[in-house]
Amino acid sequence: MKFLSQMNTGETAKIKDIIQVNILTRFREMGLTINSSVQLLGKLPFGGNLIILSDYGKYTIRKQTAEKIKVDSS
Amino acid sequence: MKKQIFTKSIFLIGPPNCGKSTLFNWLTGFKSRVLNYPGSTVSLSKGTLLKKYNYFAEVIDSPGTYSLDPQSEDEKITIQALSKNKKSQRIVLVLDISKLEVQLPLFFKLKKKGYSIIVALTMSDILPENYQPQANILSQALKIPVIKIKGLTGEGVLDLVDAIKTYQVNPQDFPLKIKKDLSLLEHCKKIVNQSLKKNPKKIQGFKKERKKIFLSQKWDRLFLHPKFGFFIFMGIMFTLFCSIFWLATPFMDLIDEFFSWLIKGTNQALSFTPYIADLVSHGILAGFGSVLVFVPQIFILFIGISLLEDTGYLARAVCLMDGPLSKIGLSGRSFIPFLSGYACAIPSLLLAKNIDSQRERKMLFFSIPFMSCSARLPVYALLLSFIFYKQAPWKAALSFTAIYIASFLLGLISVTLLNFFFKKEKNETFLLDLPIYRKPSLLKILNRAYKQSKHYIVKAGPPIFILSVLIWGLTHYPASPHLPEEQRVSESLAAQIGLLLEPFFKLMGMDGRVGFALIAAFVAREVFVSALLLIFMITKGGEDTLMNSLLQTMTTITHQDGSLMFTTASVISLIVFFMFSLQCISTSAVVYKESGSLKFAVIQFLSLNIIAYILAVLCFQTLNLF
Repeated sequence: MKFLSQMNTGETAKIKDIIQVNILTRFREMGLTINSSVQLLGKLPFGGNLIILSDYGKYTIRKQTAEKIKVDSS
Repeated sequence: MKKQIFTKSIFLIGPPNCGKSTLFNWLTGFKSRVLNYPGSTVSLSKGTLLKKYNYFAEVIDSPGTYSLDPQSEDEKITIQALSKNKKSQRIVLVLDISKLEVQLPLFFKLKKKGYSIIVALTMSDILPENYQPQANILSQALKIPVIKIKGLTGEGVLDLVDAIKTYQVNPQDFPLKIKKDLSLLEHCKKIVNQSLKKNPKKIQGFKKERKKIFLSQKWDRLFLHPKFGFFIFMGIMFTLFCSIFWLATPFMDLIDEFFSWLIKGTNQALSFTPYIADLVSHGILAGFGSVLVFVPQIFILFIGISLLEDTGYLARAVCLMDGPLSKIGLSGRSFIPFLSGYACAIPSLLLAKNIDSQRERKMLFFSIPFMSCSARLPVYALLLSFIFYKQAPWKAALSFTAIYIASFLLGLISVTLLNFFFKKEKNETFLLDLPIYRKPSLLKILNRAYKQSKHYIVKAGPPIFILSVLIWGLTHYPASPHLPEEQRVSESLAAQIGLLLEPFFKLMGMDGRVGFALIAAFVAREVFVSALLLIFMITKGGEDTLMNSLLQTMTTITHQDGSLMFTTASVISLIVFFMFSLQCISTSAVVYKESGSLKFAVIQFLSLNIIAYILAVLCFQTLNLF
């Protein structure tokens, strides 16, 4: 288990835990629920945002927000 | 004009980027704009349903919302507006067909609250027909009309209006039961699968096709490239702001010339009554001119921004800039308003009002005036030409660049400091939908630019006009209009105020005359130069000759004790004053209107000008020591 921010570009993983309530609500509304899969499409340099792909769209997420999401790529 | 009274209203609600505004345009005749990144309509858009639909109703377009538990300010606006006039409203829930499962829970939440809903499914033109959820099956499952809309052609809009006209709510439809062992999302997934006839081939095809659309965004490989993405972004921004400078200038000159001609003509026509002629021409008409002169910049800036927004690029720009800006308490959405302050603070403030976070908006309203706008250009040009008088031009050019960079840094520093006053929300998050790239519509783009220009004239125009007339009155009265212009100005109330405040201006190396020019510059910063020309009675010759004459005169102007007034120290202190001060009355008027707080506008006005004065004095006094 690791954080979304630690994923490598191109890697796909399943969301396992979201350790912040307000993120949990917004994520759920956007279809990013526990056990849903997410692919990291890219990382912007200098601690910039991450670009992710889910079943319901492409999103950009701030690195600090991604550090609150636990994923499992196994 | 008689105000229309609507007994029925159609309220469009849905998540961000679902195509609400496109539908609104089809219903009302392109009276709103298409939004491509969340949180860009903070206020509601209203319009009247087109006559061809034979149904008299008001159409309301609301900011995008994911749920009925608001998490941002634009969501709050939507929920508040929704709960008003519940009985007379027909709710059209607009859902993106490619994201139906995650957007459908909003339907159940609305239904639970007892709203009469009709669902409009958008984006149906991006998925193959064969793999699309069927509207009739959905309609049966949800027990309400479900209509597919094609955003590009408007197909389905007529059916939607028919459904709005005829749909009668059946009270027995409430409440929709959801199996206890299923979450709302799971239930919605089940309904979508059902609408695909539970055919595994169709379900897989639907999922595969939409993923293909999300992934086939080859432009993202370029625009969000870790290295080139930033360069491309800078190039696009450079082109945009250059076009504001260069494209708007001829139109601004044209407006200027038109008002000069009108003022001259009015003066001649009313020459038999000089007081009224003076008030109408130089007060009222010039006041109108000072409002309208900004319109070309606003129009061009919003054409550019709408183009970026409609294509989907703006969300990418937000994505690129969010990381760096989050370090000083802003989000990526702030970058464009911030940077466009270089051209003019007015359109930049209009852009900033679209940011959904109130905290961020206020920080921007406060910091945007630090950006070195085009009105400061003639002032810096004069002052730097004085410092480097008869020296190599590159020195002035280099200093000019330094001022521009310094103004950007000042803006950033002020934002950083403002974090102490506007506390960051705990656990702030940032997750933004990157919409698919779409072909922009010229009509919509022009419409948005027109609406923004109109918004500026209607909202900010009156205070700018009143304040301009007031400042003009101060700089020309109580002297008789029969006197020559120079004498009128030097005998005016503003000149007297300048003399009264002379002890203050002396501390920054200037006397009451220059103090008066600084007061006159509150109409617009560039007025400082023309006020100096008036004060030092330089009225003959072409523009270049005027400037040279002024520069020569400045080298000879002395204080009463015989010491030179314009020295390197005093001119640098003037530059410092202009860098920090909020001298533009129009900017303050827009801040007041857009922030909705007079207190905020007054605090900003006073604090920035006091800081500017203190720093200018400190600068002059320190430099004088050497």
